[in-house]
Amino acid sequence: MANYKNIIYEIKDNIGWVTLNRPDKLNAINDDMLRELDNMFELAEQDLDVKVLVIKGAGKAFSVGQDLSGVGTDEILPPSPRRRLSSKASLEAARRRNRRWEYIFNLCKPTIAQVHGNCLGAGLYLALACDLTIASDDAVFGDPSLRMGILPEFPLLAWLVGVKRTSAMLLCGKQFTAREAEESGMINNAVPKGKLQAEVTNMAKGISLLHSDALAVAKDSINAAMEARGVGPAWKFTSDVSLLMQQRTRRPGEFNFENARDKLGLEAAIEARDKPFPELD
Amino acid sequence: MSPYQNIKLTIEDKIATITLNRPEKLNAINDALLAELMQALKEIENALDTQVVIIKGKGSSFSVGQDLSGVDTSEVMPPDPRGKPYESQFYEFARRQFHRWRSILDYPRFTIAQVHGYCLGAGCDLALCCQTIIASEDAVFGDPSIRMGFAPANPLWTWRVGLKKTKELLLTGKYVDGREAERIGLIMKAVPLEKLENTVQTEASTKAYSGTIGGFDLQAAWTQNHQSVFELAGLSAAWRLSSNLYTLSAFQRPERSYMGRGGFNFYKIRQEKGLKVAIKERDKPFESYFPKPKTT
Amino acid sequence: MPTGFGWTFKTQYQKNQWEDMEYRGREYELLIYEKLEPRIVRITFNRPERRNALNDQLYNEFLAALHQANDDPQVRVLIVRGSGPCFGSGHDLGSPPGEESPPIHPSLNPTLVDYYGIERRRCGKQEDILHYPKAIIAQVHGYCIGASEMIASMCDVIIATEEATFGVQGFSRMTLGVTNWPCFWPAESNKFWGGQLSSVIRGKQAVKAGFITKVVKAEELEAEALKWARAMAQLPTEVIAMYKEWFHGMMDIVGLGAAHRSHYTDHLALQYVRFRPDEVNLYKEKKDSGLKGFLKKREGSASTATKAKG
Repeated sequence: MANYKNIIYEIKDNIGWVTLNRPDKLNAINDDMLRELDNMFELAEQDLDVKVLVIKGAGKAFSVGQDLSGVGTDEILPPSPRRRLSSKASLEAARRRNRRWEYIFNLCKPTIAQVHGNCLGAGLYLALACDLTIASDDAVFGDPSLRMGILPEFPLLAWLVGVKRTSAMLLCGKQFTAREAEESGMINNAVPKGKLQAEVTNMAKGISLLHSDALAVAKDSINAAMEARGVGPAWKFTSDVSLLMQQRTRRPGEFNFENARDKLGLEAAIEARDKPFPELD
Repeated sequence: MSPYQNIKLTIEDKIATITLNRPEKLNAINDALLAELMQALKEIENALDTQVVIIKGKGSSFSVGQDLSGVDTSEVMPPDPRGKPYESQFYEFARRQFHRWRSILDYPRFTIAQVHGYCLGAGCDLALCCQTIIASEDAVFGDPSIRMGFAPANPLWTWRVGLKKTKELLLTGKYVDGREAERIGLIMKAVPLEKLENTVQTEASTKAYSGTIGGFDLQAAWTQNHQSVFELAGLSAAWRLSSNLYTLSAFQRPERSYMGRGGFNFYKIRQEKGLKVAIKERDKPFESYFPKPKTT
Repeated sequence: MPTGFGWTFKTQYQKNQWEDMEYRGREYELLIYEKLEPRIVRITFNRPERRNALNDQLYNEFLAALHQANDDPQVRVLIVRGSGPCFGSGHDLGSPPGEESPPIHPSLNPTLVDYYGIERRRCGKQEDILHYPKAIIAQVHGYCIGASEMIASMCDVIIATEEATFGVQGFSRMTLGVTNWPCFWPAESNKFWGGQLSSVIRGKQAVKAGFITKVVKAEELEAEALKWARAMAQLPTEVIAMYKEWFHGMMDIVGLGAAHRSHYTDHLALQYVRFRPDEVNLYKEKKDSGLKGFLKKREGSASTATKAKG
């Protein structure tokens, strides 16, 4: 089995346990982690021993999303203007980025996201692309992408919670508590923190009793209904608009995250990014 | 005099009631019941004054779903693989199934499913295809198809309860009670069992006698438009695919399917030990993980 | 005016009606246009004595205001609200014949194509709000019905009071505009909307279903709307525009645009409705005892029927 540094992958009782493993960075997702996840998913899909996958995060959070350090993040983030990528290369990068969530969504085996703490940005996309999302009641769901001038590259959210809630999160920057997320259809269940592991293990074990063939076909049938409802074309459309977003006119005086990071460091840059925005509940 | 035996039909002014009438089999749906149901719906359609249709079940349940006995079920279950049917028969079965359920959702009058007791599998499909569902608090909803190795035939679940809950229910085969069904959006309202009949009658009357501001003419226009909105959102495409996948997944020639690879072989156990035991053995492994809601 | 060929049937869906509406040199009489902050404009429908009913003049002023706000390079977010008792009561049914707002008066001898043309224009006006490139918040109190409700639903955010009332009893489920189309959950859920036998929904319930963004107490409404406006106003104009482009593109993919348009053919249905002998006749009752009288009589007939069944 592959030697992973940014994730842990163990198979036990027909369940593939995947742990995002950069706890000192709150499991921020960088290119290395992406590569390891890609590799793991490919192996898991073919492994007859694996009936169901569970994805969780080590440490205090599920994942705070894309690694914003600028180091080893050419795949996870849209290309910085500094890289002067051609439109074609940018479009291909955009397609690769969001195709990944589409691929996870359509994995032939059932997936469960076990969420605690912060679940933001690409962390949110990973958690919601899974078939089932079960969270502890202290989990927080959000996406600060627009504040970075990045298009939130996850159309599925609108199909899960409807138009107004989607804009509340993505356009207005509202963060959802676990309870709000459950009520709105974003996740399956919000449980007391101490019960999260047992709840997820129970679900995974129950599902693992079913035959892989049936699970694969049933999941595909359900996903196909969403595909027919436009989720399919939406994935691709998203990469196109992502390119538009990247190539937009930038106004003088507009907040520039990279410049702020160069000047102030990563943490202070994030603070400066968020400071002007009122907290919405 | 009613020609029906597996259902009962009454038409009273603007409200028609179809009662599923195989109480000794918990209204399990077999060919005869299905045919009579479709016939009754046609009859009501011809009664131009009827505006609301209530569908309910006699006895202790609404319906436990497809009759799994293997007798008189060629329209309800895909062709038995042991009879070595041709694949064309499967596809034609899937097509008829799609048209049948789609036509119930597309029905021109306002349908209300009045549910108590069990509402499972195809029984739940029927309820889902109604315009609304009102149930008793202790009614039990679910679709255990996946435990039989079948993909779900009805794509309406995601419309009613959303994608997450759909996968939770259909990828596990677990059941929810009336209260939970209301909470997740599957049904309109859950009431104590003794209030169910009255509640449905009141809602039906209100709909039939005060309906829309433009009378039944406007209701009919709206109903048609609503269906086209479903079409725009790809419902029929999804439905055909679901029906095909359901049928193919039931194509269980052991040498080609998971049954021959250690999966649960419902047909074999039914043959050896009878239907009741087969159903019990199907659900038993899941009881500790997904306990059934308590019923009174 | 009906021409027998579609009410000056020049309007195609693609034609943007607010871009055409001149604001320069226009004095707003029926609405108030305020710049609350450099980046935030507030538009207030100002016909409180008519419950902010939309007649041609008010609608045209509204479109002009949208044009004005879009041309202002500082502005990023709009707030739309109603003065007096409510957000809005829809089209002004008391407008003189010949105006676009009310249903075409029978005395004008409209043909099918006349009805069709006017409905296309109404549809276009609403679509233009949906596709507006800047962020819009609907700040809703009181009644929000008919065309006013559609306007609210086209906005990115709806902040309402708990008692705000969306919808009119007796219109089936044709309420809350784009929010309601059964493409996104929970619009077809039996609990929240699909199965409901009532066509009226209050703010308190609407927020639970995700049809509106937030409910607050009446005294907090203005401040809350401003808060959300400020949240969006921090984003560069282009970012907002690109986001909306993406979002509405996706809605079109799911068929929302076509669904929205097809809804207007239902208005045509109202023109050709014939009441059955035992139905309560909307037109007759309205003439005799007004809209209130009609609604009361309808309620009465339902409870009579229920009683008769025992």
